[in-house]
Amino acid sequence: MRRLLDSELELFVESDFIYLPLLLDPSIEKETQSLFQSGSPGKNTAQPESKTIIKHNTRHFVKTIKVHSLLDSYKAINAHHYNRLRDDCLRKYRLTQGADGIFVDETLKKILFLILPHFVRNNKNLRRRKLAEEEVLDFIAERIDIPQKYHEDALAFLDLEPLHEILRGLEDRKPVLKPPGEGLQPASKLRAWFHEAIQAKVLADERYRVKKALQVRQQLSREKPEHIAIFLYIADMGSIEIDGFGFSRMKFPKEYLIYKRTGEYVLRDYYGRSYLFPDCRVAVSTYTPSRPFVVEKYKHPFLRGYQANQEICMKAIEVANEPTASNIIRILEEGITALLYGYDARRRNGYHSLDKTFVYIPTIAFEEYRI
Amino acid sequence: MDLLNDIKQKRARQRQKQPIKRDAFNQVSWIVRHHGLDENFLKILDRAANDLFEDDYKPARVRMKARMRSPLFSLATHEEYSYTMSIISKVDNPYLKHANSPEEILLCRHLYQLNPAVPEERLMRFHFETLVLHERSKVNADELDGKVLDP
Repeated sequence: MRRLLDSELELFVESDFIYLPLLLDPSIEKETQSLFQSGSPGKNTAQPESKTIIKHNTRHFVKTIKVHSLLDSYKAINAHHYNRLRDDCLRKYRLTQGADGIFVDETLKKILFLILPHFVRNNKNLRRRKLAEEEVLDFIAERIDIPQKYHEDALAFLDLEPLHEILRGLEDRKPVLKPPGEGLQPASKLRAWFHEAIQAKVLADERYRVKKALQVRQQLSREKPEHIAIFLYIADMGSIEIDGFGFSRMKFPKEYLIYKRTGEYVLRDYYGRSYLFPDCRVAVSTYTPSRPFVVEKYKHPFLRGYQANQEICMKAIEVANEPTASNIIRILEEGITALLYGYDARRRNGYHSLDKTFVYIPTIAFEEYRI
Repeated sequence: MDLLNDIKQKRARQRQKQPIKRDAFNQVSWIVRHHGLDENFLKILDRAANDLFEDDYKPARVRMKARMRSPLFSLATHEEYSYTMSIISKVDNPYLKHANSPEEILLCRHLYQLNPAVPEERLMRFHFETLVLHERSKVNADELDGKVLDP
């Protein structure tokens, strides 16, 4: 059906039905002629108001599908295209799940207002006193170059009038959209009507979301547009990083991977030789904040192999398995401390030794890090 | 007993698969759509009947028919249908269902005039141009024979 709407055909609309140009071969033509000669061109007993075949300026059109059936069932007929139209519509009114959901995402707030200030506090702009939420957002706005698009989106986001209008229309039970014009028309015209009708249907189906979005935005009406832009940026990009501290959204909703970069650091082996280790990200997930791990493909005496996402070998941390801000801060700090200061050259603790020994079978070598 | 056998044989015959025969409408309709033929082609077709073959074709290589995959059933739009039916009514001979291209449609009527009994295998195998040349050479040979015999 989509191909027909995208075509350059001329369609006929009558009694809420789409009529397509009748394709012919000699037997169909004969049948059509006999129908018109008998004077009842395919009257349908179930729907006597509509004919099966109609004639318009020597051309014949055959009844195919009811416009409103197509509209109602389009989600099942072509789920992919329906979802695209739906997303376009929701994006137009900034009603996407991420855009509104992010303002009520408690985990994100925890990261932004409690964990981030802890790790970037050494900066001269951030003193040791506890910062207000507004100050943190101002700081982020200073440090991250938010594209202009998000500032424009933020202004549109705070404009509540379009949503008020939609809601008023839905509550007054006005018809969602007037029916398509009857008669001969190009497929492009019917397609344009159809897309509008789908959007109107989406908004009607999403009445709850529109209401909720309106509530959220009313609460945000006093916020600065720059701050809204930060949230919209995070909702879209899923991650930010400031001074080696950052987070990125995981596949699960409202779950994040929080990390801190170690920077380059030096460890010494039994003979006092130095090894320069490259920067890596020590991370913890808010989904299961039990142990810290290294995101990159990395090797270290406290990592079992040379691969990505390895847990750091360290003593058990006595924290509750809850993603509270203090737990996450502690786990990250313990992980970084273990990598930077945990290795004891004399005891050669961990999975591997920096210098070669004859007791163990060496699996990971660190020679290339030696300076 | 005879009646029973008769019924059984009849039913067996009915169950037999009937091969789909070539149909002039399907073939021409497909050529019309595939080559985008329109009124201009109909004009050429009119002209072809009168003067296209006045000049002799020069002897050429034997042309085999190009292999085409025309559909078994063809449905045409209003315009295509009217062009198809016009071509069928203008040409109106049994060779048309073997035409594979507009060129062959043009040659179809002339070929039929030259020899209305070309075997079907040849029509399916050779391009109509080759068949026309062949038939014309036969006619020329007959004429020459007549001239030689006359005096």
